[in-house]
Amino acid sequence: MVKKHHVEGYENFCKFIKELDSEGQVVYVYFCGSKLENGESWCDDCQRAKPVIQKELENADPNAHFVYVEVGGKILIALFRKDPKTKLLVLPTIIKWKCPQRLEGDQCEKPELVNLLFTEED
Amino acid sequence: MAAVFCFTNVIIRSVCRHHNKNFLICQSVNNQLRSFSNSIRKSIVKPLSSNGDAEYDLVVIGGGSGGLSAAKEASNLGAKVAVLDYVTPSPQGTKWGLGGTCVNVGCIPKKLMHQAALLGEAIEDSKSYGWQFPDPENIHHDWETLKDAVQAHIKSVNWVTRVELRDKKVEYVNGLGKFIDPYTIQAQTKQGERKLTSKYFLIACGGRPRYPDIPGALEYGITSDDVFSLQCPPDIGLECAGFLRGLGYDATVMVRSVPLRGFDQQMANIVAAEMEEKGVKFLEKCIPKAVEKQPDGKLKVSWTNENNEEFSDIYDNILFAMGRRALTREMDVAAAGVKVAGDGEKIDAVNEQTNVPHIYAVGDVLYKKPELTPVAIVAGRLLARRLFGNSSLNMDYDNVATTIFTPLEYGCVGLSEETANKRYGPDNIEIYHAYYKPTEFFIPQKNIKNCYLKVVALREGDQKVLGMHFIGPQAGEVIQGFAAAIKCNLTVNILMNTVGIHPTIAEEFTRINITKRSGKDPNPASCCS
Ligand SMILES: Cc1cc2nc3c(=O)[nH]c(=O)nc-3n(C[C@H](O)[C@H](O)[C@H](O)COP(=O)(O)OP(=O)(O)OC[C@H]3O[C@@H](n4cnc5c(N)ncnc54)[C@H](O)[C@@H]3O)c2cc1C
Repeated sequence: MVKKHHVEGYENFCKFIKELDSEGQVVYVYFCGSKLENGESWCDDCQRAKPVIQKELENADPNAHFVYVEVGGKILIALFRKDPKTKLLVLPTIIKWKCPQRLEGDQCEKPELVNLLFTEED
Repeated sequence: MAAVFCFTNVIIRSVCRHHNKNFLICQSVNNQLRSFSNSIRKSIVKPLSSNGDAEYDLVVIGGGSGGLSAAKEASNLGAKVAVLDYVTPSPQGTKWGLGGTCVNVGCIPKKLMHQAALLGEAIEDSKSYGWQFPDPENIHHDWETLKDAVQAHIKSVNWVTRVELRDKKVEYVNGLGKFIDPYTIQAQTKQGERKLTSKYFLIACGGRPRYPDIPGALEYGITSDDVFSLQCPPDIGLECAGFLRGLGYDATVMVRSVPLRGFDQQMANIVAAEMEEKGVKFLEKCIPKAVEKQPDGKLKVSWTNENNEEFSDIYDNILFAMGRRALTREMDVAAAGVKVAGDGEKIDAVNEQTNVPHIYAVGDVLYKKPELTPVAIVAGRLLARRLFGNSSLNMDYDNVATTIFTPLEYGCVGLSEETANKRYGPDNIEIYHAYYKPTEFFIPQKNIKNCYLKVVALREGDQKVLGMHFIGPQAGEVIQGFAAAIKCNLTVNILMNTVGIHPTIAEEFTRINITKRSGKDPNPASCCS
């Protein structure tokens, strides 16, 4: 099973990703809206993507890392947007770290696309 | 100092050069580049398939501009589609991902590198506009940064293409396709061999660069397949030609006949003249004979001229841009009964239909059709609509605009002066022409000698426009709208009655008033108006 990680906010993310020793394995980063008190994200699209991603993760390389990032409020989102490494434009977004592969918005809800991201080798 | 030169359609359409190093661009234009055929032959599309229980409705061989466009449209219309795409590495070992020539080793990297060169020129120009650089001598270009940025962009396009196919439920098979019979393709994939049967097939294999049959060509030569991803040539620099004034600027273009054969020759000569003024050397009517590696790693190139005299010189790189051959043989089209035309590799299809009724072809593989991405895309889309969408609209290969991204760009649409004269007789043709001065050229005192345009029209009546030709900055942007106007039967009369946007360069087309026949000086008055 992939190694799952969870971080909140921009600074935590930067620190985490810098220190993460992925041992050369693929790292997927999933950006979504932060959770509300009831444990659900405020972002509907993220809610819809969640089960799809969870399910498709079963097909991913078991040595891969999966970083679940709750981006936080507006200001924090802007920081993610400006960072050339994340270039976050939409929530949710899932990227293959340091690679061109990414899925944005409702693409993250489509099992066949999430599957492609998790299984394509290149 | 060095520059990237982008010659669209000189058959190679892009050239790089190296810092302090000679970069020989070898080019012969011996095959017919594009011809805008006027004849629209009618054919009956939609044959009945004798393969009723085929696995697919459409199998496309080649995931480039034409193949992908047809595949996506067919799938939108409900067809079950598979696309085969496989890139055989170049002799130098270069390979790339899904998307075909344009995305990986054609239009896109070419335009990006052209832009890099233009930016270098802009830096130079900006000094006279008051921009100050703390350390002007230290402005230099880093090839690796550019190459990496270009390659990263390409990789993201490859990915987006895969996502699109998956999203549209087009099956992508990363394998080399080969016909075994008219209804079966065999794909050679990493996982092994696989057979696909289909009701219709689309041959969209495009082409790959030709090499001359001379010693050393394959071992030491590179082509447009390799140039955009060259691994950090040690001390490469890449800047626009504007930077190179007075610097040992040393790119050589060897041409078998004339540059840009098939294009309007007056315009082609102006493009070549502009490049020569920027320091590129031309060796006309020469034929390369051999390439040998010297002990110091440099390349000795020998060639003969038109009088059969032998010459040789030492270069760092030799790039062949001798046209492209269609990959029909590799795909064994003969096994499907598909006939080839001309040089024996292209397909002469009527409305994209080959002689085998359920097998179609689009893109660069077509005989005597423009080798351009949008041509392949539109033809592919229209074909899919005819096959699966009850449409009867055929592709119109006439009046397709194109641009050559040389440092000063050349854009054109419609007929060349030569073709118009041949087709209608010089007495029935009127040529309007003008040299013009782009406003922004004055301050940096850029060379305006080659900023020239020409309108080819019928002589009688309102003078229907047959062709428009423009050399100058942003020529592609200038010519695109006029291409639409020509499709709407533009006349010289309408053109002259169109109010321009001032100050632009495109407005120069609305100011034409001097005909070649009049013999008047086409140079602009000394002041701007
Ligand atoms: C350097 C350069 C610059 C260019 N610049 C421009 C430009 O500025 N503007 C413009 O409009 N056009 C430009 N072109 C032309 C443009 O790239 C082509 O016209 C266009 O790509 C043709 O599309 P296509 O679908 O015919 O084939 P391609 O895009 O070449 O795609 C064919 C694909 O099929 C694959 N293939 C071949 N055989 C098989 C097989 N048997 N099995 C599986 N896969 C196979 C190939 O690997 C390739 O991926 C340029 C071309 C070059 C070389």
